[in-house]
Amino acid sequence: MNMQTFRAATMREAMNMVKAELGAEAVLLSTRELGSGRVEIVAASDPQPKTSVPDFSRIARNTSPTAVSPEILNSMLTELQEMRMEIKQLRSEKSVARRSRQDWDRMVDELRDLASVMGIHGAEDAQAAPIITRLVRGGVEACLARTLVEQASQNARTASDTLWGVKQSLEDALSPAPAIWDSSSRSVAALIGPTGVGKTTTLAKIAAQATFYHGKKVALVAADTYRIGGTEQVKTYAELLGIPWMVAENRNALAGALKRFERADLVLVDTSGHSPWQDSGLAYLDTLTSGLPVERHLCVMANTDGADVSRMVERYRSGGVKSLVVTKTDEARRMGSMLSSVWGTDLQIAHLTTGQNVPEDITVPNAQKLTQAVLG
Amino acid sequence: MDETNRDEMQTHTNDQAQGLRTKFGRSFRVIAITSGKGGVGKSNITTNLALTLARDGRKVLLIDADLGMANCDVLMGLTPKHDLRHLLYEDVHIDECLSKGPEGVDLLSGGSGVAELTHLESEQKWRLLDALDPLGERYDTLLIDTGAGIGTNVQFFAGAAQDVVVVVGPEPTSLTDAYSTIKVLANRCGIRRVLVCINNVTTMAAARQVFRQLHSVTSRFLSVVVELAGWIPSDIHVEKAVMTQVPFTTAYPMAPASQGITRLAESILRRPPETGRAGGFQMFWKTLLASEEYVT
Ligand SMILES: Nc1nc2c(ncn2[C@@H]2O[C@H](COP(=O)(O)OP(=O)(O)OP(=O)(O)O)[C@@H](O)[C@H]2O)c(=O)[nH]1
Ligand SMILES: Nc1ncnc2c1ncn2[C@@H]1O[C@H](COP(=O)(O)OP(=O)(O)OP(=O)(O)O)[C@@H](O)[C@H]1O
Ligand SMILES: [Mg+2]
Ligand SMILES: [Mg+2]
Repeated sequence: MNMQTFRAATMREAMNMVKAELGAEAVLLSTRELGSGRVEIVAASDPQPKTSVPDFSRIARNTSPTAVSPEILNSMLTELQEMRMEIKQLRSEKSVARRSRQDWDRMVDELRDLASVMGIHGAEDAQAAPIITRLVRGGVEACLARTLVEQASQNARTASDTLWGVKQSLEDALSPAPAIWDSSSRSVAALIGPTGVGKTTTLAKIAAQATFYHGKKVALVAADTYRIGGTEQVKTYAELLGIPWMVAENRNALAGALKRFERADLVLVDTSGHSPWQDSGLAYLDTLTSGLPVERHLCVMANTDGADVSRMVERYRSGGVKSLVVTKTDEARRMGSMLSSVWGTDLQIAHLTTGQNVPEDITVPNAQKLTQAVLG
Repeated sequence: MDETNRDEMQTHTNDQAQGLRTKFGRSFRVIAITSGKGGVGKSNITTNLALTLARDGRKVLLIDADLGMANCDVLMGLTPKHDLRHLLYEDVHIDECLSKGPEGVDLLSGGSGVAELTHLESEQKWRLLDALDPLGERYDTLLIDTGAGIGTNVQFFAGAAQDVVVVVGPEPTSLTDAYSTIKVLANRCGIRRVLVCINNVTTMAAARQVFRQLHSVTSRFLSVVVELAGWIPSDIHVEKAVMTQVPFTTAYPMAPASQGITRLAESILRRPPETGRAGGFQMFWKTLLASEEYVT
């Protein structure tokens, strides 16, 4: 990182120095007025950050989060006035034609810099852009990010009001559903979802947590007779946990299993994965559980594209979904798709899974932390 | 799955159900304390954090992995007879390499042995794993003073820990160096969240100011989450404690710096460890010893 202090008579001059020395990417760390009518800017940049800055941040590039003091603001206003005069004068001058193109470009650049420090290129934009950028960087779909910020800025006077509003709606949307092992009465829970999202592994984690930490009588049902080794997986976990298990290859067998495990507090059903875009998969689930008191919990992978997740949730919801489980959060770099999975629905997330280890790698989501993760 | 496969699944001790087999790992925390610039207070913070966590009922092993300047022993008034090097090359038993500090905190001094950790022969690796495996029963918290800078040693330990705390002082150079360290942690060690502790500042506002500057640069140029985990005020008691070799949280529990350590400890424990990073004690060592890529 290259950090430098620049002193000049005017903010404009100082900004030019920053740009010349550190490039357009530079971050302003602080600005202050020196006694002698000069100004000082401390700025930094990293010529080789390696990770490229997402293009979207261009919107916010010109709005530095650095607070600008009122004195600086005043002095910049004066400068702006001066520049206006200069431009007016230039316009009126007959010699305009002779002015080189570069002169004009320089002038425009300077104006833009000045504006960036003051955050005056559209008061609304200046407030919204950094927040939208943060959301998008956090993996939130751009249109959703814009909606969130628009909603929040309606009653907001300042950027921090808007941010607060966005946080509130995120926390609200990301508030957790009851843990699957928490139900006070007997419940039958089936984990459903696309192939390979971690249904079986999650089922084992829930079974273990319910058994050891919550003193529940748990039984497992292996309804995934399609996947080679699908039932063995369930068997292995059941044996490790010392809890009963059964295979149920179809609806009637499942009904039988539920009857047999009547006295269990929690019956967990492992289903086979299918493509969410094919009707046959959804039909399989409907047939399997038709007329049975089975609650479905949909597993979705954290590193799925936000738009895909929300469509996927929509598809599965038609057959009834009690809550969501977001899996493989450890493999996701951004948590924004989680927001897409619940946004606009009354669904909530019951669990997050955070790795392959059974049973440690499962948690109950914390709305504040998730919000933080989304906002970065 | 055929019989042999299934047998393997049940006898193998290192598959994804390992935690289940050992009936629940306790919540191990592996925390590395590092800094860009030297002398910003790492050793003082690590040592006192260890004691504070121990007072809170955690069983703490402190590893002083600062090569040239291992001094956590001095801060605790200990004179270790053996260190990691003796364990690795002279077959000294692990128990003899640990020194008993105050509050039940044990210290494993890296000595100069750590220099070779990145280049261990497989015999030493096994010796180390063998020696360290039973320690998992004894401790639930591992604190590592990694020393300063962006050397392989720092990367080695920080890369294997669950949480990395970067200590930052108020001087501009400390900010620049902290940035370089965070950049290496993010780009080379795959660390996605870094906790920051601002040390030696007069007010919380000053700490925030330093943090905000650091954050504005990291968020512009790096993809890593940087969180302010705590701040320690500049406090005369720190120096006094260094002179008397009694850690300041012990000698002056109500001093401003001690309160800062308490806040830091709470703030670290309150966050779940960074997701996806090595969970247990054994895991820490295994990750560490497997991390060949940090060897240069
Ligand atoms: N990194 C990571 N991997 C996970 C997690 N949960 C499950 N996995 C892994 O994902 C893979 C698939 O997990 P399964 O539990 O078999 O997934 P499934 O949904 O039951 O798959 P099908 O039954 O084949 O549809 C396995 O390699 C698991 O170890 C998680 O939270 N994080
Ligand atoms: N909060 C504080 N208030 C006052 N003095 C402090 C504070 N923190 C650290 N110091 C002073 O800074 C000195 C250096 O601290 P310490 O040895 O812990 O730093 P370090 O980062 O471990 O150094 P090195 O990089 O050399 O290992 C201490 O001796 C102490 O006098
Ligand atoms: Mg499965
Ligand atoms: Mg030190």
